[in-house]
Formats: sequence, structure tokens, C-alpha cells
Amino acid sequence: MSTVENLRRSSRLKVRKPKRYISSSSDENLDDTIEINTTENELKDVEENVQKPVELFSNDDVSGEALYKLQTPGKKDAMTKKAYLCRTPINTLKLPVAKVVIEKININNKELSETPKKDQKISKVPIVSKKYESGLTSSESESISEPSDYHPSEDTEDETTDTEDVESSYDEKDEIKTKNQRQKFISQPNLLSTPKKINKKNKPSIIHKDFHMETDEYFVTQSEKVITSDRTLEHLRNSRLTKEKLETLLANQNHVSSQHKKNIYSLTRNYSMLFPMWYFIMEQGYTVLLYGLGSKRCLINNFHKSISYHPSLVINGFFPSLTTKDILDGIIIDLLELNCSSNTTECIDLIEKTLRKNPKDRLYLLIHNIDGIMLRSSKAQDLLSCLANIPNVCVLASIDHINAPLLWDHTKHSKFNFFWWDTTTFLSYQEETSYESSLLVQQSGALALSSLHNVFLSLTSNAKSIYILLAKNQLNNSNNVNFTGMAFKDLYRAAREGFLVSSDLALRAQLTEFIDHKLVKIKRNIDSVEHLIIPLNNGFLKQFLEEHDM
Amino acid sequence: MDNVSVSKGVFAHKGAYKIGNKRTKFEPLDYLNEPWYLTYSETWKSIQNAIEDIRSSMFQQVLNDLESFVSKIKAKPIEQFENEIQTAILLTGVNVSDHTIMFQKVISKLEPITKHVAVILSRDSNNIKNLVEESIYQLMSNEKDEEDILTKKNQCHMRNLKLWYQRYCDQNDPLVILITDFESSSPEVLHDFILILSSYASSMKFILIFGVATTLHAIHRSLTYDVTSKLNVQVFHMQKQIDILSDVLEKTVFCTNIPFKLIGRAFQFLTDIFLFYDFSVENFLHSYKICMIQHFYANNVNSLCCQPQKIKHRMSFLTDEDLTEIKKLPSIERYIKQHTSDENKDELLDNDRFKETLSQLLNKFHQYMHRFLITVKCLHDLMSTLPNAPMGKQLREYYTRAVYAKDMRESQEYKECLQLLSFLSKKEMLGKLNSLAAIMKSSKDPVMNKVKADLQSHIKTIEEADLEVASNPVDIVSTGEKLSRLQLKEKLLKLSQTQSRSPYKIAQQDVIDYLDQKVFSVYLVNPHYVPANEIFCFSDGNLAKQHIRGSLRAAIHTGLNDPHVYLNCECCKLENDDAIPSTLPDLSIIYKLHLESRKLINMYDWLQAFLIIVDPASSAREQRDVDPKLQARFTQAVAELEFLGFIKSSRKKTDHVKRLT
Repeated sequence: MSTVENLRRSSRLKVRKPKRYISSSSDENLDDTIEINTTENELKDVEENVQKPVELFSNDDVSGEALYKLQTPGKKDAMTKKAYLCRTPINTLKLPVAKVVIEKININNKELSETPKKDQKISKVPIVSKKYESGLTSSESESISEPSDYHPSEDTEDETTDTEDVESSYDEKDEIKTKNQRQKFISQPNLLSTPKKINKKNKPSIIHKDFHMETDEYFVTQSEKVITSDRTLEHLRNSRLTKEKLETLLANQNHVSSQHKKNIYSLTRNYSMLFPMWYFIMEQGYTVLLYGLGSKRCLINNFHKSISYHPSLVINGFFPSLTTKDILDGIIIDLLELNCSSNTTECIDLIEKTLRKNPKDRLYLLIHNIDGIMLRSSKAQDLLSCLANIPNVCVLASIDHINAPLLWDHTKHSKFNFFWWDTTTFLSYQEETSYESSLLVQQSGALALSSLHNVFLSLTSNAKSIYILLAKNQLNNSNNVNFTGMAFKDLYRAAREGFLVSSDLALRAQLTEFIDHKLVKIKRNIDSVEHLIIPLNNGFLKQFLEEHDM
Repeated sequence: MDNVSVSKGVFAHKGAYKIGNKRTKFEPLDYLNEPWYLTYSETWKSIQNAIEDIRSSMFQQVLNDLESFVSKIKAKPIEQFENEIQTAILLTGVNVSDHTIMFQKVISKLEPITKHVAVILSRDSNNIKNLVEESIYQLMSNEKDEEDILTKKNQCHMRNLKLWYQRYCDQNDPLVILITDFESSSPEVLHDFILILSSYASSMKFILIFGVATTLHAIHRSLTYDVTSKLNVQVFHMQKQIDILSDVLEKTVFCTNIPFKLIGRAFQFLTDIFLFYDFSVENFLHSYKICMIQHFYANNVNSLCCQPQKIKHRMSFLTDEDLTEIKKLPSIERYIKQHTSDENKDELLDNDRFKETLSQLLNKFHQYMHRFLITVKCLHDLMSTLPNAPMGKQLREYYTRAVYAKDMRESQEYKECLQLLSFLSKKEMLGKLNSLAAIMKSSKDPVMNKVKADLQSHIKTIEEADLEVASNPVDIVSTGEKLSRLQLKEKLLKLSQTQSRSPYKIAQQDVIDYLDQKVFSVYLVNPHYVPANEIFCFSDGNLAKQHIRGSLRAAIHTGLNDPHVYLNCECCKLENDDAIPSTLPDLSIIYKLHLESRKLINMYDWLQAFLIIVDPASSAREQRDVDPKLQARFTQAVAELEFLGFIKSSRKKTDHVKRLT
């Protein structure tokens, strides 16, 4: 990739004439020699035949190796060793515990903002116009002329200096912008409440190197045998945490140092300076796509406040049972106040027609995690891209999954018309991950119990009694380790004794209903006897019976 | 407004008005009167106009062909077709995103011939029922003057169509069905659809138009012989995408009417995206607009990026602050430094004087740009036809070289080209020089005219120059002399060196030297070195890359691997990439540890490693009793890592997660 030539090869062979032809001055045989030369070189230069992109992939990109590599050849306790290696000596200086909760800072954040600002002011002075001076000479020649292979660890030193360099240039530019902001703005309080001033650092101050992976690395990793230790989490004395416990433990984010909190906060604040620009970009027909590490919920919610004048729809893409129908219903029924048809194509047509009729109105779609689990189907993305394609629908979305860009093909890409924006916030993904079932979290089953209640209430009295028979039987056998459930014929006998069912078939019909609602699971043992079991742990079952006082 | 719930994923907020309510008052957007916005919209408008011209010219050929195709069918009586469906195949190219505009043009072109046109998008063609209903619905509802015929979709079937056709339509009117994206519709559905149509072909005139993105081969592969035998196919070709791009560039970037210029890495990046990602002109324009937004947004200084006659007017809007900003622009600062001695420094920096200087500079830049572009065109004309064209064949390649490299004349290819030029025959040379003169003629610039005059005098000398070498016969070895072999060799060498060249060769060398030293070296200066370039040119490749393509993985990786880049705090400064200080955010520590492992990760070990780093105080090798707080932090971080797509829970082994990267 790093040829000596600075610029792109066009798609044909290159002829390099040997020196001896240079001094030659006779015209006749030259054409011949060139031709011969061409064929000679043809063989050598076959590889060069392919035109290659210059700007898309450059040498100072982060290689995929960094993310996909394996540093130590499969040792069992590689992680522990590494941890010991990196273990820092105990700090004598204790970090002061921060008093302010992060979530709160983001909302009412006036007083803290003064200190970082001053720091920035001071640092502003010495930075004069590095960008323009060095722009072409350093950054441009560097990407081409260094004939280095990928050694991500090797060029870290360059990386840091480089980023600092560019960073300062950004500051410079933004400084220009700040000063240019005239106070001529006709303020529109309910439309854009954020301050119009664009501070320095309104652009992401980071130029990270670009990233691309090599496919071979992946296959090398996948083809290897895995060796891991056999220890399991059962070794721990304390049990897994429940979700509620987890939430209370993490509630005040004490473990984040105050320094970090301050910086995280100032990151978010800087991004919120960009709101007017995002607003402008969406007016120009683009979809603003936020990416980068950290939850972007706060950011989007804050942006939502600034556009609260317009009708808007907030979509939680990370919500595990979101459907495209929900989105369409939300727009048509709640915002347009029309009747919704069941056909998606018709719905889109309807929305499009209504909005085209009123070109001055705006509809804002704010999508938290457009790469969310339920929006990953191509159908959902197709729908969203169709909506985004309507001129007066403005879309602001965020992505987090590292493979998210694979969702869109060319057509969808051009319909969405993305304007990417790196908004790394470092906030924790608390809401986003709250729906995921993690290995380390004990499943509380609170949800299951409440749904059991609801279904139970709608049953007939006979069916209720049958269910209670089952539940009691299960509780009575709670000490039996080998208990696999109540056998069908036992249940039948018990139910007949209580005059609950009259026939085998009637009971089966009842059971089908239970199974449909997942109140009961049916299992066959080796003798092909059917056993019925309630998929709840005994504590909850007891609680359930107590609540119904039976 | 927390917008989170366990039962709902969508939250509607009504805002202050209802969509469709005509009485809503909108306050004007606050940027509408800003100078930068005016300049931005003006520039964009002129680009759009240019593009509209290009579009109409680039589709002209294919539109005319289609029109004549359809009208020919209209003229023929239906019996002549022998139940075959007339089919046009449009080879549209892989840039699917550009096609919408093209099909719109096709429809408007066909409108005067037949009113009955149905456009089938790929989302309608996934099952036969939809496809038939949609096409019949569109065919029938295009009849504007008879609103009440029928509009219900479930009544749209072939028999109704036939009745309707017999009752309302002229028997010669063809029914056109346009299937825009052949590859994305399923072959079985199309198969059935064509068979259905062909069974009605004796009574109605159908015309199918397929938009095919790849090659004709796609049709033969997906449709069987029994279907293709029902079709009477004619193929239409679109212009090549590359040609369209060069047209677009010629009218936008290389056009002196549009003052905004894309140079350097940004330009290279955009053309790279076009050539290696999508071939889509529309996307190219979108990216172009993104660069423009970056350049203009909230930056009144750049409102000076306008036509020369407007400079005075625009200048009057600038405040003192703006002027100070302009003075700080590096290229202008450099200029001021060069042109001032210490005593008149204040004088030049005085705002009124400075405005004058500035307007001179801006005008100079315009002049420079004009000459630059003409010279690039000359260079292209001169060198693109050389054997193997070492510098490329397209104008954009020459432009890229000129704006990208520090000094194009230093490059290997340029030297090679000059050398190749010197091998040209007299006739070829004259032809080239004449066309150069013609390009120069188009300019009204006095400097260019002078160059042209010089060039013409050179042409004259070349025309008169003799090809023959004036021969003055020399005896190589005079008979009387006796020479050793070495002496003879020396003598021969001397002779070969002094051998005179033909007058043509001399004249040719002269003109090449002239072009190289007096024209290219003077006018092909990289815009980056011209004063006031910051106002007109956008070259920030990194910024463009970040916003046009985004680098999601890189951003996440940087955030995790080196949080210092974003957080800017002292505590997270890494000495090397592998270090894991305990002050890093949890997620980052977890991430760095997970890089050490292979496909599967043992959660227990992971937790232990995490504890060793975070809680170095407890010295026990293995911690069975974990502080619940630390455990919670670990749990949350692992969940987040899973959310980011780095790991996935696995059933292969208890308490293990699978690494996905």
C-alpha cells in the first residue's frame, strides 16, 4: 500500500524507463524499445495494476490487530498475569470522593463549569495557528511517505504528539468561530434554548487514527484451540448480585474519580454546544449519527429539550420488545392523530403524504441506539431510512455496537444521508444494559411473578384450582432433589377428586392454555411419562400462593 | 422526560403545534440572515444549478432512446407483436442510490406518449399479489380525469384491468411497467408476473422496463427460457459513472464561477469514496455539501468566499473581530510579515488599510485560481495522451496532483512525462501545442494571453524547424594518424557528445523548458501556499473523513484503549499501549484485560484480574470474598462490553463468555 509515489496510480501499468534511454536522441527505435519495455515490466508490475485508494486507508490508521489481536499465546492465566504486571503501587494520595452525582451534573450544571473554562483560556494563548502552518507539510506527507507496515505499538509515540498537534489546531479554528458568533441571532426561546455561542472545542478535539481490520487475523484466531481454566463463579463466597442490589451499589458512581467526573462533564457540555449546528445540519437534510464510547442518552435527551417546540418521537432502540409497528403507531396515532392501517407500506405512504403537504412542519425522530436489537432487521432499517428520506423528518440517532455500520447498504446509506459525529461521553450505559440478562446478575423473576398474577386472574375458577394443585405439589416436593414435576396422571386423579375436570381431554385443554402462557412446562422422562413443572423458583411460588391465600 | 420504561420503547412528545395545522406560526430560523449562511446557500445553489445541467445532459441520450422505443411501439398495431411483451433493459450501473432521479426523468419523458406508467420499487415486488396490485393500481389511477373509476387495491386484478383498458383507453396506448431494481426483486415473482402479463398480451400492449444494476447476465440467470422467450428485449446503456463524475467535477470544482474549492486530502478523500465505495454521484454531492457545511457554518470570515464583484459588499458586513481573525489566518499573517517592514507595520494593520489589502488579496486569489485551473487543463491536455499516461488520463487526477503534493514538479511522473514529451514527433507536438493555445484562448486574462502569444511564437519556430541534422561530415579517423584503441574510444565518445541536434529537437526542447519553467512552475502553485486560501479552500481530510464516513471502531477503540485522548486527565496518561493503571475507567480496564484472552473468557479469572488491578491493597492471591461494590462495578462493565458487541455469553462452558473480535 505504501508505494513510494505520493499519488494514486491510474489503472494501468507503469513504465519505468531505464536511464540509458534518456540520453538517446534517435526517434525511430524509441517507440519499439518502450513497447518492449512495457511487456517486460508488465510481468513485474502486475501487482501495481490495481488502482488503490489513498485517503481511505492510510498508514497511520489503527490496525485491526490492536482490537483483534492475541497478545499472549493461550496461557490459562494470561489475564491474571497481565493484571499483576500492570498493578499500580498503592496510592498514598487518596482521591477525594466526589459529591455530585453524574446524572445530576448534566442537568443543572452552572457552577462547576467555571474552572475548566479558565484552564482552557490559559492554554489557548500559546497555540497559534499550528494547523495552517503544518497542515500540508506534516500531516499530509506523513500519511503517504512513511513506508511502514502496521506496528501499532511502535508508533504510539507519534500518535500522541500527532493528536496533540491537531487538537490544538482545532482549538484554534473553533476560537475563530467563537469570536465570529454575532449576537444578532433572533432568539427563539422555545425552539432552541441552548446558548448559541459555540465555544472552542465544539468540534471533537480528537483525531483518532482510523481503523480497519485484516480478515486473516480473524480466521487465525478462530481456528485455534481454546484453553481456559475450569474455575467458575461458584468459587466466590458471595453470591451473584440481584439487579436491584446492583443498581443501588452503582447509584452514586463513587468509584469514578472527581477528576474524571469533571472531564466527563465538560465533554458532555462541549457536545451540547453543538446543538445549534446539529439543528442546522438536520435542516439541510442529513441524519445526525452519534457514535463513540459512552451512553449518549443524556445528550440526546438534552437535545430533545432544545427542540421541544416541534413534535417529536423518542425511540429506545435498546428496548427489547420494540416493534416497527410501535414506531409507526407512535407517529400516526399520537402525533398526526390519524388512523393507522396495518400495512407498513401504506403507513409510510400516509406519513409521507401528510408531511409533504405541510413542508414547514417538522417531525423529529430521536433514536437511542438505532442499532438496537429489535431494529437490526433490514426491514426495520428500511422503514427508518424511508422515514429519514422524507424532507421534513429530522432524525438524530446513536450507535454503539462495533459492527453497527454493517446494517446499511448503499441504498439505505443514501436514504439516511448520515452526518457522523464522534461524541464519546464515557457515561455508563445504565439504562441501555438494564434489559440485558447478564451472567453475573441473578435473575430476580419479579417480572415473571407479576405476569403470573395477571394471567392467573383471568382464569376460570376450575383452572385456578388446577394450577394451585400443581403449585402445592411442587412446593411439597421442594426438598426432593430428584423432583422432575408432577406426573400427568397424578394431576388428573387429583383434579377429578376435586370435581375440577370430567375427562382426560378437558384437563389437556386446560394445560394447553397454561403452556401457551408459559405458566407450566411439560417434560417427558425416560419412561415417556409426562411431568408438569412450574418454571419459577420455590420462594416466588410460595409468595404467589400466599398472595392468593391458598 | 426520562423516556425509559419497562413496557414501552416509543415515546411521543407533541410539541407546541400539530402537524397539518396551517395556522402554526414559525419564527424565522435565526441563521437565515447571517453572512455565512447567505454565502453558503448561494454557493450551494450555484452548484445545484450546475448539477441540474449535467443531469439533464447525461440522461439525454438514454431518455431519447427510450422515448423513441416507446413511441415506436405505440405506432405499431398490437397484432404485430405476436404476444411478445416489449421489454427495455436499462443497464443503469451499480450506483443504485442515484437511480431514483434517473427514473423520475424517464417517467416525465414518457408522460406525453402514454399516461399509463407504473413504477415498481423493490419493496413492492416481494410477492406476486403485491406486485400485480401495485402495478395495476398505478396504471389505472394515473387516469387523472376519471377519478371515480376504482381506487380500492383489492379490486386491482387483471380482469378488471382488461375491462378498464377496453372501456377507457385508446387501443394503441401502451401500458408501461417500470421495475426499478431487477436484482432485488425475487426471480420467482417476476417469473409469474411475466407469465401473467403475457397471457394478456394479445389484448393489451405492455411495455416492461427493467433497471438492471449489474449486467445483462443477471436477467438470463434469474429468468428461465420459457419466460425470456415471451419477451422482446432491447438493451439501453447509461453513460459510465466515471464520465459523469468528471462532468460533475468539471462543472463544480474546476469551474471558476464557484469560488468554494475543495483541495488537498479532502478532495482526494471524496474521489476515493466515489471510486472505491459506491460510484454514486449523489453521494459525492452529499459529501461535498458536508464539506461546505464544515467550511461555512458559523464562520463569517468565510463569507468572503464569493465572486470578485461582491467582495466590497461582503466586506462591509465584517466586524473588527472578524478582521482580526482574518489577520490571524496563517497565509495572511505570512503575507503581512513579508510585506511590512517595522515602521509601516501598524499602518498596514490598520483596519481600513487592511480591508484594502484584503480585497486586493482576494482578487489576486481569484486571478490565481483562474490561471491555476487553466494551467491544470493545459497540463491534462498535454500529458493525458502520452503513451501509458504516467500522470493519469482524467483531469481530476491532474488536479489532485496539483493540490495534493507539495510540489508536483518534483514528482517522478511529472519528470517522466516531460521526457516522453520530448520523444514526440513534430506533427504530434504541433497538434498538442495548438490545442494548448486554444485552451488559453478561452481565457480573457491578460497573463494567459501573453502565455498564449509566447506559445504561438514557439509553434512558429517548430513549424519552421528542420528535422534533419545539419550534417558536417567529420572523418572519424584520419588516415595518417595512428591511434591506440583507448584513444579511438575517447575520440568517438567526444564526437557523440558534440553531435549536433536537429533544429526541431532544439525547438522542441525549448518549448518544453518554457512550459516547465515559465508556465507550470509559475501557475501550478499549490493553493495552499497562496495568501487567503483559507477563505476559499477546504482541505481538512481528517474532518471530512470523520463526518462523512465516521470511524466508529476507531473511536471506540481509542476510547477504551487510551481514554486520555478524550478525557484529557493527568491520571490516565499511558506510558505505553499495554499499561493498565488503576485510574482508568472500569470499562477500559476490562477491555484491556479481555484483549489478553482467546476465544473464550473465564468470568472468574476475569474478575480476579480486575480485582488485582483495581484493588491492589488486598494482597491475597485469590479473593474469594469480593467487595460487593467492586463486583457490581465489574458486572456493569461486563454488561457494557457485551452491549458494545465485544463479547457474548456462551454455553460452551459454564461461566464463560465468547469473545467476538
